[in-house]
Amino acid sequence: MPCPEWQESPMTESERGNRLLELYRSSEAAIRAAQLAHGGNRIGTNLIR
Amino acid sequence: MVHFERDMANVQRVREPRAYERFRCIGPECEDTCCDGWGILVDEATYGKYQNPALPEVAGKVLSTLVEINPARTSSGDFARIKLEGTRCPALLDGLCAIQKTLGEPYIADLCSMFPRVVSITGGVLERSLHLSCPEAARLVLLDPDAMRFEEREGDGQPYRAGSVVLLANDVPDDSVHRVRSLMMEVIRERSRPLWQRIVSLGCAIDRIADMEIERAAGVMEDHLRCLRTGALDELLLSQKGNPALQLETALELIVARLGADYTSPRFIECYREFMLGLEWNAKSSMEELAERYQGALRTWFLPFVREHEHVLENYLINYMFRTLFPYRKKRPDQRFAIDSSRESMKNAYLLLATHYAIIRALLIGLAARHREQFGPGQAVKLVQSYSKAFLHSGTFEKTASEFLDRNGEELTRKIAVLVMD
Repeated sequence: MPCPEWQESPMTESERGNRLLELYRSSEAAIRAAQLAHGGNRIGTNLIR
Repeated sequence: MVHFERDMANVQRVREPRAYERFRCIGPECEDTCCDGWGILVDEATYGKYQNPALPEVAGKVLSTLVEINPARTSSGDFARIKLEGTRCPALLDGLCAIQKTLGEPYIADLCSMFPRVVSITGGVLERSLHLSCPEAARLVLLDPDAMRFEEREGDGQPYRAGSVVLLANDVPDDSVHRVRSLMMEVIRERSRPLWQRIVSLGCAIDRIADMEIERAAGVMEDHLRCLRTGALDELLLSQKGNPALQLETALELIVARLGADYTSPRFIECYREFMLGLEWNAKSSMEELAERYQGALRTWFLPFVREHEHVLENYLINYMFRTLFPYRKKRPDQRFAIDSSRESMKNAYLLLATHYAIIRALLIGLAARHREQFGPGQAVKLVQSYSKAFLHSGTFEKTASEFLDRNGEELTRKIAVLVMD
């Protein structure tokens, strides 16, 4: 049975570039927070289970 | 309805991978600790013990002050939780549990007494496996080529606390469930095909056995394995197209979603930082540049590593399949588990298995780019362990991943092929 291919992102090149930059900034922020141990109070649903 | 004593009495056999018996907690020698970085649930019976005012202090504190009732409790198993100090359990002293040291093992919570061991009962068989979020367990499972060979014997062997055993179902045919799962593991071990083809072919198998009675599914799986071995699936598998940019975009979206959802341990953050450095990802990078470096690292460093250490990723997948009773285990809204052979449940189980693999693979490619000739099993163990702690224990990630991938709404096999193809 023929299957349609996964659609490419509906975003334009410019939008994809902006999204990549957002992801980069979020990643950098997460790394900084971890290095400063700011994340401590945010433990929520990640559990030993 | 759970009847622990009755279900334990019905246990006739024990099944476990070789790695299970070899596991011993290494305590203060551990490079991570299971007492830091995530929530620690306490069962109702243990919480009750802690309310005894006659107990001696632990780590300089009254024991009852270390716990609180869990506002999100769903059963006696998650009745309470440890009141963390920052990210750590306040009873952690010099790498050891002060509660266990002071009062003995019966005073630690069910979950703490078991981790990283997982014990479940299905169809009268007790299965024992390991969480790879423990560094020692990850080493044992990933580094030994024979770690995920299974052993089975009569009897049970040791008593368990009621809250330490996951009761899945005693009214399902273990022989059939186990036969289907074993054949799926054989697909993962079928080294005549690259690993991505084995994973994609599993999606075809799931499609064939979904909604089917479990007793009939084993025959279909045997046929599927034969088809994979004889090349009958080649036309389908070789017609798939990879997309490195989409692989990276998907991994990054899901990683960032997880990082934003909850605290993440420094060990995973270290790996993620190395991944970013390996791909030379900065604020000015375009996806085309990243995808080119990613593809280059795949060919130059990652694939040679996989060829030399084929068992590492195979054992990761087989451990996941065994521990989660893949593809039949379903998490219910009350967080307990059930056996489910419906198309929706099995599709979701497959999607999660493949998505976790796709993210781990993408991260390893970045790590391989970073470490180059020095990239080896040690980095893979650290990544898989820290990834498991951050992603496989998350209460929100599975839903996030399912929703994200459902947005693309295309046929499952093609979707997964795009994400895992070398």
